[in-house]
Amino acid sequence: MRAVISFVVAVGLALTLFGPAGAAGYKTVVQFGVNRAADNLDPVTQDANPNIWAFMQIYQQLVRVNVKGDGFVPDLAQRWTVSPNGKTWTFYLRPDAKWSTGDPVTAADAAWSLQRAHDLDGPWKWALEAVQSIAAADDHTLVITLKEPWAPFLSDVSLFSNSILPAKIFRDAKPEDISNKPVGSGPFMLTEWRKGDEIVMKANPHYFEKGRPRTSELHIRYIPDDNNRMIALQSGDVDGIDYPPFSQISVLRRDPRLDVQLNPSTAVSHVMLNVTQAPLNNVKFRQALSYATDRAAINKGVCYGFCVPATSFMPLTTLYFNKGLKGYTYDMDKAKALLKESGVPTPVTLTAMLWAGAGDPQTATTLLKGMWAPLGVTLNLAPLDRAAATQRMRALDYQVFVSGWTNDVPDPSELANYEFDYVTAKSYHTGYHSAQMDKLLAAGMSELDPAKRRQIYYQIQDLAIQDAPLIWLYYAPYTIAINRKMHGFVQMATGPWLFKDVTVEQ
Amino acid sequence: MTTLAGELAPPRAARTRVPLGLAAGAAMLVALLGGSALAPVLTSYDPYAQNLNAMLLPPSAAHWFGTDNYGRDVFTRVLYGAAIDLRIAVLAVVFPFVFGVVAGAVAGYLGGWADAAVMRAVDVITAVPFMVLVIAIVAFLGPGELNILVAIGVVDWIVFARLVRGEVLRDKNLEYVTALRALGFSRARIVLRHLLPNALPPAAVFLASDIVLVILTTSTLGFLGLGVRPPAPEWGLMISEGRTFIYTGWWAAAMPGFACMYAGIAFILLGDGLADLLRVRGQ
Repeated sequence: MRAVISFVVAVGLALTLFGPAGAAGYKTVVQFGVNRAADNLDPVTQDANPNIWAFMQIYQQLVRVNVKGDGFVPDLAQRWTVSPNGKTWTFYLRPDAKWSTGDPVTAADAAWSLQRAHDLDGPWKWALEAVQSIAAADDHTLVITLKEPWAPFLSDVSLFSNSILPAKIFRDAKPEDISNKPVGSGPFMLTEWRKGDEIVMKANPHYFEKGRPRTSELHIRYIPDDNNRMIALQSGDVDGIDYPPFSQISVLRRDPRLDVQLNPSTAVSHVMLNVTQAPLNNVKFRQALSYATDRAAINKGVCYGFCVPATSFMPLTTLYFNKGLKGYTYDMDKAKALLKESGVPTPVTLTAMLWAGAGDPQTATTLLKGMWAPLGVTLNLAPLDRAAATQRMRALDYQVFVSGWTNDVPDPSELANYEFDYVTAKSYHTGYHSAQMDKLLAAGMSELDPAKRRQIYYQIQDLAIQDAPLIWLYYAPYTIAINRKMHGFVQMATGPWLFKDVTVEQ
Repeated sequence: MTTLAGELAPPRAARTRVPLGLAAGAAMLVALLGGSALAPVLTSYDPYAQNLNAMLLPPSAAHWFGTDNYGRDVFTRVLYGAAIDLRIAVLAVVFPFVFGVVAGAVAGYLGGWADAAVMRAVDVITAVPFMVLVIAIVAFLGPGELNILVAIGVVDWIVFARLVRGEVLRDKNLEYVTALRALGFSRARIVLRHLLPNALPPAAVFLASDIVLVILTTSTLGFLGLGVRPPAPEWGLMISEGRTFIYTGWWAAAMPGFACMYAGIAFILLGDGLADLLRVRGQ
């Protein structure tokens, strides 16, 4: 036994001393604790953040959204051009990019990946809707032809669903292979995955940026309980954690070893209303609920003051966010007047669906119950497990549901279409459908002049507030807590973490 | 008459002297039930009223148990919650007790296929841990008070059945039962009138400790989000909601935790006391 232990110690020491990125004084493994586990790493079919943020370590896209979430930076494509008529886009791939297997990344891979994303029925199919054809002109040149000029095209190409995968490996593979054994050209490669527990990634030795990632192993560990995750950080078991709860920010900030970050996000939290059923099909009734919702109080009760009350359906950082909007300011008198006008007889009972054990949404729902009570609206809370709740949401079999969105691109079209276009996602599963809105959405997609587009998206924001199919609550920053020995950690405004520059002192 | 009563009184009092545990348990329980019933008089707070200007206040004269993250008074919620937890606990054990006792007595006395049927059912349910089975049933039926009662009813009767069957098996060949049979009494009469009264005391004693188990089960289900719906002031739910704030406001989770403990101790003392009392009477 003793021999075994000393062997393990010796190997451990050897790894520490001679590991690839094991510069003296730095750890070879970064440990990061997360609150939700990834379960599927196929970029095309998935829409949950834990999956997206995990596979963003593995895949590259042609272009990437910048850290602030308001522009683009080259990724696999070094540069790109667009023809004067706006219909032909040419992407020039970097010649030194390689898959983690060592094979070069070619334009044929990119063409196959984008074609797959274009053809597969998934939540992100709309992103390549305008595409007519995708072709590799040579090994490093990709030409995409559009049916018509498409304003948010670069934004759509940067979306994670348009990640580039090796065609040779996956062309004839089963779909589960992409979900479970992803291969990419990004900074990390998947080496071991114990589902519901830990994802182990190693540095991709063929990653095009020399000397990156600076740490040779990344462990993403699933620690769902907030207190356990914080204890793991404070005891040094992990080097960083995501989502420390707002209520604990002030406590963690008192610990001098920790760096507690509130990172700008593209998130918005909202209440979905099923507008296909009475009484929520009554717009006046929805407006009354919107006025009866005290956003400042919710910011206090849910975010401990760290959020910004929402004034539009768009997150703060979105392009064309209308800063001049006031949204619904809390006004109980107006709410009561609108309720009277609506003709909905009180008392009314509504049922709020709830993810069992979901922290912030549960708190927000409980607060809403208190806020709507003076209006004569009784809100009953019905906890369900995540899968059942998602299923009922998609089937429009609910009344009220607190949820949230994060923008993945700076352009407003992604969210606007998801939220108000009935065809895309039944208008964020509210069942909202408006001809006027459809017209505005279509105009927003094809208009190329930024000034005119801005006006269109201002109108969309106004109409959204007027029709109130959702009640927008607050803009929350991302909360992150890391050990001060960890350097180089970046969280993008769109959510994913960048680990390639991270080092952790011994 | 008076003389007679006077003569008999002292020994009788000595024999039926209430055991200390029973008295203490009963007193604790009465205090809890009384507090719960008189809650509207005892506190001026509403268990549901939110006050975001009074979030997570520590225990003080104004808020004896502090306030939770919605600014609700924890003491008030614990008192109101007692009604929910105790109601579920008592209702939940009625069916398993009655069914279990009858099934156990029938199985024990009749033997043969009746015994085999009951005991195989008991085996099947015993094979899965109590908590796991209850959670599985509630998860299947959905959260809510009625479903908790159903789940506990399905699982909990086996303990009583086993207990009573053992008692009946032991007694059924005793002379007095043989005598009853010789007298031509019906099986039902023998079991109900003569065997059950002797088999019931241990089951009744166990009932008290079983209620403790049920209170803990109810609050565990509440803690897991499978029990009573929020924002009801159910103790387990309160612990679950308060646990996030264990560093900033330990009282939000600890106080309902103490309440669970208090109710548990009360019933255990009651059960112990009851056992003592019955043992004395049995002699």
